Amino acid sequence: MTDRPRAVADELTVAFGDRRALDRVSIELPRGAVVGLIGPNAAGKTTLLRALLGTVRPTSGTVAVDGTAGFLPQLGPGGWDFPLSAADIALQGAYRRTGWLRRPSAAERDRAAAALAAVGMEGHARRQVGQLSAGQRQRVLLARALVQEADLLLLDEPLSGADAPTEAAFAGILGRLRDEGRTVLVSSHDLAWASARCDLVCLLSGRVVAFGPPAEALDARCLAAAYGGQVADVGGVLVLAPEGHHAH
Amino acid sequence: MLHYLTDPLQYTFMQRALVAVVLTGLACGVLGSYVVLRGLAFIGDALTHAVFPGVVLAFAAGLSVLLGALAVGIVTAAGIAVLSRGRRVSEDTAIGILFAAMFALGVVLVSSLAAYQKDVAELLFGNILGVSRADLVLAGVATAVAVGAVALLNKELALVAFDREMAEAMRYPVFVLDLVLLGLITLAIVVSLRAIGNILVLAMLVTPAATARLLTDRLVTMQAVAAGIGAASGIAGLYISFWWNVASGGAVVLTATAVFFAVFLAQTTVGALRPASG
Repeated sequence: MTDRPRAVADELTVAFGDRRALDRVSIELPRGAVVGLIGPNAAGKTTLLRALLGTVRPTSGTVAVDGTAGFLPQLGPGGWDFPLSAADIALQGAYRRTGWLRRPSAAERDRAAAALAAVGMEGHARRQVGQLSAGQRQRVLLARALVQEADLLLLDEPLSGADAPTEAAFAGILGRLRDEGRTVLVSSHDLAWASARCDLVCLLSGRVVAFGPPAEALDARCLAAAYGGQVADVGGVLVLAPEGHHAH
Repeated sequence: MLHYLTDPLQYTFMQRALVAVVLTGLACGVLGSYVVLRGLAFIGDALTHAVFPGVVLAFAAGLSVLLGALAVGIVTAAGIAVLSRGRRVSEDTAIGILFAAMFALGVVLVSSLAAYQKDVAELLFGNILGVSRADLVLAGVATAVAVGAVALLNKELALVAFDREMAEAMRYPVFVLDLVLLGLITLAIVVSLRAIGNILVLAMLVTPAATARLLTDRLVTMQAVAAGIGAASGIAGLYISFWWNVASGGAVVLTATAVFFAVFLAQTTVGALRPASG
C-alpha cells in the first residue's frame, strides 16, 4: 500500500469563454475513500469530474490521476429509448478492454452479469432500459461503471431520482469499493446522504469552499458560503431552500 | 399466378433493377437504424440533396454518377461535422446552409447544361430502367462496405449514439466516429440513387428502420429487420411498378410506407406485433 493520493487537482481553473466554471481548485483524493462532491447548480461539479476524466482541458493548473478512471454520467431522458438491454449497457464498461473490431468475450459477459447482480438488477438483465424505473437505470449505469474496474470512479449525480433499493445498492457498493482501495467521487445535491455515507466531502461553488470530513465541510457557515444563504438549520438537520435545489 | 412473378424476370433490366432495390434495402435499413435512433433524419435529407451537384458534374463529364455523388456527399458530411463542431454554428444551421447551397449548385449546373436536363431529372426521381452493370458493381461494393463497417463498429457506434458523454469519457474518438457514420450514410444514399432517386432516398433510410424499431427492442435485430423490410419493399414495389406501369422509386417508397402503417395500426389498435419484454 502507498499513501500517494489517487487523484490530485492543483490550482485547477476551467473557463468556458468568459465564465469560470472552476477557479483555482486544489484537492487531493486519497486511496480507499468515498468522497462527496456537494454544491449548488453551476458550482462546477460536472466540470471537475470531466477534468479528472480528461474530457475537459484545464485552462490553467493541473490534474493527475494515479490509475484508471471510470464514469457514471448524467443521461438525459431521451437516450433511454435506445434498443439496448440492461446487460448490453453493463457490457459497455468492458469495451475498451475488448478493443476495436472485437466482440466482448464470455468472461466479460460474466463480469457484466456479476455487476448487474451486485446492484440487484440480475432479474432485469434482458429488459430494454427504457422499461426500467429511474432508480433501476441508475443501477444499470453503476453496473457499467463497475465493469470498467477503474481505480477512480467518478459518479455524476447518480442518486437523483433514486428509490430506497437504489440508495441501498449504492451504499453497499461504495463501501466495498472503498475497502478495495478504490476512490469514488460522487456529486450530489443531497446533504444528508453526503454526511451519512461519505468519508470526505468537497463543498464546491466554483472554488473549493471546504474539503474534509462531512462534519467539518458541511457545517452551517461553509454551507452558507457555498449556497449563498439558502441553507436553514431545521431542528439540527440542514435543509436547502427550494431555490437552490433543481434536481435533474 | 406465378407468371406475375416470373415474367418480368426475362428482362435484363428487371433482373438488374431487382438487385439494385435489394442492395438499397439492405444498405438503407442498416444505416437507417442509426438515422432513426440518433434523430438524423434532417442530416439524411441534407445529404441526399447535397449529392445532387456531384451527380450532375459526373453525368456531364461522362464519369460514374454514383462516384460523383459519393465524393460530394462525403465532402458535405465532413463540412457539416466541422462547421457544427464549435458552439457558434449549431448542427441544424450548418446542415441548412450546406444542404441548400449544394442543391443550389446542382440547379445552377443543370441550368448551364441544357442538353442534359431531361437525363438529370431522371436522377432526381430514379430511373430503374437505366441501371447499368457498372452501377450494380459499384452499388454492391458500397453496400458491402457500408454494412461491413457497421458490423465491425456497431458496439462503438451504439455507445456514441446511446451515451455520447460516456464514449468521450472512455476516450473514444467521438468526432471521427460521427464522420464515419455520416460517410456510411452517404454510401447508403449512393447505393439508392439509381433505383429510388435523389428525392425519395430519405424514405428508405427512415421508414423501414422506424418500422423495425416498432417490432423489436434489440439493436442488431432492428438493423436486420429494417434491412429485410427495405429489401422486401424494394422487390414488391418493383413488381407493382412493372405491372401497373408506375414510377419505381415512388412504388417502392409507398410499399415501405404501407408496411410501416400496417405495423403501427396493428400495434395501436389490436396490440399485435409488439416486441416481447424480456
